Amino acid sequence: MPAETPLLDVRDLSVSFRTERGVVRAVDKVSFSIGRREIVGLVGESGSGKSQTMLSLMRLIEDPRATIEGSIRFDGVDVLALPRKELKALRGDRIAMIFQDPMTSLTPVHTVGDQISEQIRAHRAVSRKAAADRAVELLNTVGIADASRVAKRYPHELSGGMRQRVVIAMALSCDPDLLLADEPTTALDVTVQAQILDLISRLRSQFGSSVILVTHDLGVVAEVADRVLVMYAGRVVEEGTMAEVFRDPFHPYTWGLFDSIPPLEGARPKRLRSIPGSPPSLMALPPGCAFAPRCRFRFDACAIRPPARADGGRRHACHLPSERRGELRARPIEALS
Amino acid sequence: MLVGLVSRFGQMVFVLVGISMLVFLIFFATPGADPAARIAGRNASQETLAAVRHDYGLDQPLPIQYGMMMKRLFVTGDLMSFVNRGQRVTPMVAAAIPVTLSLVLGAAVLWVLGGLVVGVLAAMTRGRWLDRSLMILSLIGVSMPVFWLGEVANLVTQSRFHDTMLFSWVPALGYKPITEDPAAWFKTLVVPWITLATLYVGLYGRVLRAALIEVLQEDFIRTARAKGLSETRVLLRHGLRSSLVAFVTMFGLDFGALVGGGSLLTEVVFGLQGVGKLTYDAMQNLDLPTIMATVIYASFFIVIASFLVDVLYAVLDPRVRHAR
Amino acid sequence: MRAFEVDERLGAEAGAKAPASVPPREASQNPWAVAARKLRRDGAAMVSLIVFLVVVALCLSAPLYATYVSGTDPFATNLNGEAVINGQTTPVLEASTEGLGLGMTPIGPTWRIGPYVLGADNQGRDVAARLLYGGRNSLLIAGVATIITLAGATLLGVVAGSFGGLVDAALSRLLDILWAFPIYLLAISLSIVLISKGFDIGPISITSGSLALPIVIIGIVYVPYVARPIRGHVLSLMAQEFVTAAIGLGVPSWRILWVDILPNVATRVIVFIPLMLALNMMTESALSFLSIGVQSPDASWGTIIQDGQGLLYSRPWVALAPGMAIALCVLALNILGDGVRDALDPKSKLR
Repeated sequence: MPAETPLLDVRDLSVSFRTERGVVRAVDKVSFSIGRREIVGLVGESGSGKSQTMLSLMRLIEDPRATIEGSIRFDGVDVLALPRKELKALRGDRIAMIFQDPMTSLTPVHTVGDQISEQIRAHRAVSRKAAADRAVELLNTVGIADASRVAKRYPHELSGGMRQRVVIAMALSCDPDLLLADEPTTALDVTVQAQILDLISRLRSQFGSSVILVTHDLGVVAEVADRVLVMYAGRVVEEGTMAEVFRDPFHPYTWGLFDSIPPLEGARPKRLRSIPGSPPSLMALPPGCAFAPRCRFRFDACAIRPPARADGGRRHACHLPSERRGELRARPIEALS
Repeated sequence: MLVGLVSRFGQMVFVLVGISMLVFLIFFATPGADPAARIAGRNASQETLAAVRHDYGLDQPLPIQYGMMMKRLFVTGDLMSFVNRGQRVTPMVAAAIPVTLSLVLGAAVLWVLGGLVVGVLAAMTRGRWLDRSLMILSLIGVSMPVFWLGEVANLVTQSRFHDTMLFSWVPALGYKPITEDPAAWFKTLVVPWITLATLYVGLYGRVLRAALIEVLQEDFIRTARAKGLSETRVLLRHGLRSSLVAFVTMFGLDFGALVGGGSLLTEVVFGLQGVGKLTYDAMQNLDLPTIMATVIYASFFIVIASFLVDVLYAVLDPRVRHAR
Repeated sequence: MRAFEVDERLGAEAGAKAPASVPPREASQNPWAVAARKLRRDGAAMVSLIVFLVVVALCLSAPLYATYVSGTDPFATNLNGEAVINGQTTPVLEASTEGLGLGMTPIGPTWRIGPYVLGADNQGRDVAARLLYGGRNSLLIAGVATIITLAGATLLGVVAGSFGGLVDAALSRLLDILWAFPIYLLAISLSIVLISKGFDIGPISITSGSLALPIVIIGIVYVPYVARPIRGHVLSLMAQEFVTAAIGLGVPSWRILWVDILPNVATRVIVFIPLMLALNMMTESALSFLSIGVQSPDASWGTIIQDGQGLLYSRPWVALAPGMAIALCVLALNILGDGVRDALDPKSKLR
């Protein structure tokens, strides 16, 4: 846990949606903190609630059926209670977000340069020319060659990788303290992925920003993150530094995630292990631990939702006693029906 | 893009030729009556009929007749109306054009502005009372026949409430050229403008609202909000700007229907001597040459106008520009 | 705590404690039934449908009205007639007291069930009765013209879309020209030429005063408007895999058309019905107003508005009533049309 006041402090954040079929809890009492100059990876599969968590940090959920509860404190300020005017000042300036699909996140009818300048001029009193120049500078910084020409282009004229760089440049335009990156590389091919990740890891040193990097890919997290949070069914199930979680994960779900990665060394397994079952429907979660139906170690205590047990910076939400973890994880998996 | 424009231009020419042929066929080749009798009008003497047959080459094969007619319409401009005793049609049409243009362009300005306001307001307050009332009013506007609405407007402004402060300024039906008296020109056109625009404000408001609501679901709107832009800016510069294409497409299509039909009816009801009124008077007298000429000139104007709208398209939406 | 064996019994219990997952799905239903249900739930659309049907019923009862309520023949001029109002006998047309005192002014609306509810027109005829007869014609013309338009457009659209190639190219060029021709001007041209002398090719002969002329003209004029979207829809259907699969299986073309293409196109066509009815009513009334639609002695709402022009300032109801009737029908049809579109094809763009 960072020693100074955390940059972002989220306590018991819950996001629920009223639907015709009932209430869906997309995010269920999630708590975490982000310190300054930290890169934190947020890992989970689709439906784990990671995107909704990100969106709620800037109150970007516009759906009238949504209810957001809990507390989000950014640099001490309560974001959920912020009046609209200050919220707008916060967005794009101190917190910025990069979205998943670069194809659709840029406005098609304005040039990319204009879109970056627009953000700059929304938060800084600078001339049009100065903003345009800064936009070109930013495009350069994110690795776009011939930045001044690219700035005059429209989004549909650029490749996916370039668009994502534009989106990153735009997000960085006002030197945000916190960058929220929602699966920034999922829609891109692998080579571009590496470059984008490299850019993100440089953000901390060059810009002093913290980053929350949302992904379903453990490999991406391993590349850049200092700390990792694992989410499942809208809840945080594990948290720790990269080294801790990768060397010694606590939660059976995390074990499952690691186990399903093909090993680089050793004998080639006959079959890749996957976590049995499928992600739960958020409308019909079991009353206790959300992972229990798929967990091969479940027992009667799991009928009660596990509290988040903290141990220094390590957290996990599982009833299994710590001293038996190593032994349990090492158990060979029997064929289950 | 140039290739696209050239091909579109070629298409336009093709359509123009097609229309001229179609009109020609309708007036000269529909079975039923002797074309000479049609052209010469009722009660034409034998000499007149013979003159008509000679002038129009009615004893010659159809393609030649067509060629002669086109020449008269576009090259020599000496198409003559037999009913009006030798009045040349082309100058009549030329004199009527400013009236129609004044009417149509003024109404267009009104309805574009009105449509924008209605569409944006309705999309912004979606679901609430303002949205609902605007949509109901739009529907009502769309459902009233324009000529009837004009009659009602006349009833109110010329007769029933003419003496009240509200409408005493409305002049008698008719048109005053702008060069003569700009104030009077304006006054004669205000009520027709509003009448004509009512129908279209409703239509455009509804379409724009639907287009805006759709655009507002897009990802780039969320990005714009995440940038910290004001909601107005997001709505107008990102939402509206991206849905303008739909608006412009409609405009192009409707301009045609308007000049073709709506303005004709409005001119008749308000006594404005435009191309439409010219056509109407010719219809009452069965003055076929005049009708044919006005129909062709009007159609040509419309086709060319929609071509220009296509060009405007490319200016407005860079995606279209580069797709060509 | 128990031993951490895979305890099936406990596991089963734990599993059983989990609530049943998502409730069973409703059996999927015939899309027509689904659409009909959706439409029935649309209050505005249902009200509009009822209003429209009431108007239709009223107009159909025109002869009854003429016989029992208004008493006079709505088509015979009645310049010297007399009417009994409030027990007093007054001439139907009286010397005008307005303006210069020239001409005759017919009696105004009595606002009472009976003769001359809405007054008389300049020929002494009962306006309300004419309104109902005129409505019959207006609705009839709009209805039959809609059938012609939709049948013609479906035929052209399906042929062009499914045959493709030269046939499609030729038809599309033709449609382009017709489409570019402003609808009213086309209707006016055709009407002018045909109304005065009628239509006479071979076996088809339509006399000039017949209602068939406006019906056919209005029906034809809108064919390109509907044919285009249908052609587009057919093209996109043809490109879909289920059609390619059918062709690959050797299913004969006519069968593909009948079983795969037509039912899909049918939804689009049905969505067009209320819209076309409304458009055709507007077009017919405009043409009749210009005296090139319905010809006397027949009446339609458009002709009655024309009749009312001369009386506009003295007896406005002659012109107001038919216009309001048109507006009411078109409004109801528009709302119904929106509802039908939402029920059958919510993704289609407005217009």
